[in-house]
Amino acid sequence: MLFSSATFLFVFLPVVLLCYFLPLFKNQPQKEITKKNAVLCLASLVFYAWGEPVYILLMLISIYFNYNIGLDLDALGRRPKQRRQTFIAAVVFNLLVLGFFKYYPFAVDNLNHLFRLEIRAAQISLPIGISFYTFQILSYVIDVYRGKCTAQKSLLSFATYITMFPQLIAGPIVQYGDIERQLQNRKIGVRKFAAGVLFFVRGLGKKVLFANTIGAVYTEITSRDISSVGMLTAWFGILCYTLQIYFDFSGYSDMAIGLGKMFGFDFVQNFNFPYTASSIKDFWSRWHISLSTWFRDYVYIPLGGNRKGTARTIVNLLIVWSLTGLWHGAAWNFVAWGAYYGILLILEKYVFGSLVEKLPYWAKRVLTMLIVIVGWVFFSAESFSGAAQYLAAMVGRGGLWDSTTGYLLLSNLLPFAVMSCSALGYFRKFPKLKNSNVRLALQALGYAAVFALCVVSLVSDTYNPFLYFRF
Amino acid sequence: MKLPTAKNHDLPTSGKRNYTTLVCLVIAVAFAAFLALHTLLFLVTPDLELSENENRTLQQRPKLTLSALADGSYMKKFETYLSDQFPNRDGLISFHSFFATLTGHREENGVYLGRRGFLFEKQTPLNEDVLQKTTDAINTFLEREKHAKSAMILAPNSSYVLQKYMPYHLHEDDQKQQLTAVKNALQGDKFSWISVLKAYEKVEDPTTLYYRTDHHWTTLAAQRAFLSLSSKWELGAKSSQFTMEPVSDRFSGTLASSYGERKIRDVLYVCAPKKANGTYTVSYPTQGKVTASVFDTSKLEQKNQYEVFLGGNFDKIEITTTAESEDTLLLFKDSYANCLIPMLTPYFSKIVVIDPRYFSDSLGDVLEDTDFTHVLFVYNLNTFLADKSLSGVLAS
Repeated sequence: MLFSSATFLFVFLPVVLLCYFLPLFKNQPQKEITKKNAVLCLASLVFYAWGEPVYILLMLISIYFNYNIGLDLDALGRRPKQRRQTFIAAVVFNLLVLGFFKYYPFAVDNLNHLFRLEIRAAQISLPIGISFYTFQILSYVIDVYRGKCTAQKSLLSFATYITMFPQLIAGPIVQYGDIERQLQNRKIGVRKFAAGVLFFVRGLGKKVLFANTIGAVYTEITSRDISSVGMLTAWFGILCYTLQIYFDFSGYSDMAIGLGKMFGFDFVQNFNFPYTASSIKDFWSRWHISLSTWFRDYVYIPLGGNRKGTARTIVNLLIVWSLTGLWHGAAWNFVAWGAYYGILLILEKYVFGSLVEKLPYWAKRVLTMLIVIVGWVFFSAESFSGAAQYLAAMVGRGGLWDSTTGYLLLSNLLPFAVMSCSALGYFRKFPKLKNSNVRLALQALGYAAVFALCVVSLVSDTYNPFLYFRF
Repeated sequence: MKLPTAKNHDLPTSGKRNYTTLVCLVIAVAFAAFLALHTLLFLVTPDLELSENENRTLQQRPKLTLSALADGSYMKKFETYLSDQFPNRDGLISFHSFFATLTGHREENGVYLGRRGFLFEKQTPLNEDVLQKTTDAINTFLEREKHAKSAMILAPNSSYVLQKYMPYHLHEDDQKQQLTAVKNALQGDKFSWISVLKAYEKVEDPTTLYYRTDHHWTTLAAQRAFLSLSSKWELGAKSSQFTMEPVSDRFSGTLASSYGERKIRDVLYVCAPKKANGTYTVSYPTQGKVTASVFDTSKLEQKNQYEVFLGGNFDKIEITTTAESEDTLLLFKDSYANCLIPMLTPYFSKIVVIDPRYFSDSLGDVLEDTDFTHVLFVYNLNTFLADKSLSGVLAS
């Protein structure tokens, strides 16, 4: 169930909100928060089962297992050796589950290729959100092991943390330490709810009105024979994809943050205008912040970070970034995409960083964006050779333009311009009206219009004429 | 390191605390009311069976069973049910299409919205392997039937003929080149290529050659092509021998359905010989149906009015006439031919119409029954370039 579906907006969400805010235990705040957690947890399980009626068992097992691991780690406080063994077993178990469901077919494919084998991989579908919730579980296990926080005694609270439906399937990845206190004690109220509504509507708009619209352009271009796509069309296509992936992902994060706020949770900010970055390092401190932080905290720093000399730092960076790539999908083009950033970050750090520093600000931003855009070619392609072919089109293999270039540019000019301005943050300070009442009225109108248009749009997406078209 | 939590900057931060709370209250209530209103509307609006614009049945409330839950089919159906039965769905779709046009958008489900209300079908790219296979099959067939006169009418698409009405002067592949490629690939001693583009030249207003809302050529365009054929085959037909009658001014075709366009309408003409020379029978062997007319006026009551010609598309139709002619015609066609067939009836005593996309019998049997004096192919370029059925049927 996507957030941008009639089922979620007009059946699931109203019911959940109603149950959540219905006061059962008026004068017993402790019981009331337990009830609220129970509603949230149950709703999340329904939400997950709606998309994965079978794999929900896997998630439940995983939750129960790791809940007990947490308790064990606490109980074994005085026996470091056993504690360490328990910890390693837990990490290996979680990684194996993720590895099996996400990377098994990929691994078999590569083995077959490498050793000329013919193992047939069983068809395994990827459980929704497994990459996200496994990382949340790992953050919990590691934090408890390190003693950064104590184990969660309540199974309900633990399950609520792992399953919480706002961020279950697309992040942000909430670290346990950030939310531990909120599970038992959080401020729920009209101010937070309103802030949540605004976040949610903005996110819905980003996803439905922006990402879906501009994404169609890229899909259209890649559905053609790539060898005849002109250079301008190819660039326009990847620019559209650049906008799509940002609005899609940050839109989803905004919706998650908004829903979280409605229920009283404060999640971390996941995007901070990444396309205004002036260096690659800067870009990654603004893009999918919760993921890059996770890798930094749980892989890069434990590996030694940059404290063990240049050679080790370079190796560490390469490991982290290849893993980051692989996390996004089980295919070599994702690994290449990750390694691409790893190498560029190393180069930025040790080779041309000081050179780039001398460039004017606008040049740094253009350069960064170019690197990011080329990166998306690898990310969006279905295979490594697909990416190479697209890059070839971008340097003019199919000519400077093709017969549809003018049409594509003109028919998408307005949406493209509006979205670009939005992604670059030009609307942040706009409108700068002195009279805050007028400003507020305008904003209210804007949000209402966005919400209404989203509904119109998601209903229209189901327009599906059945035609004897060619007959 | 502790990360900053996401904050909302759109909420008023200045002013008195009570005032801010009031604003928040309004936002929260408005949101909840919006959700609740739609949920209520859902519950009170009755479910619909059909969507006429989409020509399909709508999803009904699915049955809840354990197996449907386990394999997830219940959830999928439920989501489709909600979106199919969304209150005022048609109105919202209309509005969306209007809004998209405002933002400059000109394409929906593979159909372009051009100027002056013209809708255009996207062009099929030329696939040389597919084309080669089809033309080879035609050549082999014509070689086998070399005693018969043969011809091909291959109609270009509106996106070429009405290019200046395409949105933002979109220039698709050159159909003239594609037509020439097909022409050059075909050969036969008694084979004639009917140049439809040449036949169109005498028409003053090219917008009368294609519908705004449908992917077919108009009956007028078909008549131009027919007159060209007539002079090649020396049938002696003149346009004055035919009547051109409007049968509907509310025609909204397949392109309009695809695009979701409701307002634009076309006039649908039928063309028939003035002098009805006796009676003729139209038989549909597979369907076991015989009628006395090439028109099925009952189809004017339904959405797809183009089916007024021959009642639609069928695998095989046999038309027997009382024309004073020994000539017999074998016609391979797509739906472009449907409006042209009535014009052929005065000149052949028997016409067998084969639509290879539906035809599954053996062509050999048909050829054994009748010794055809004429063989005709009528297609539009888009269907022809994508067609993979004609070559199979010709070899059967």
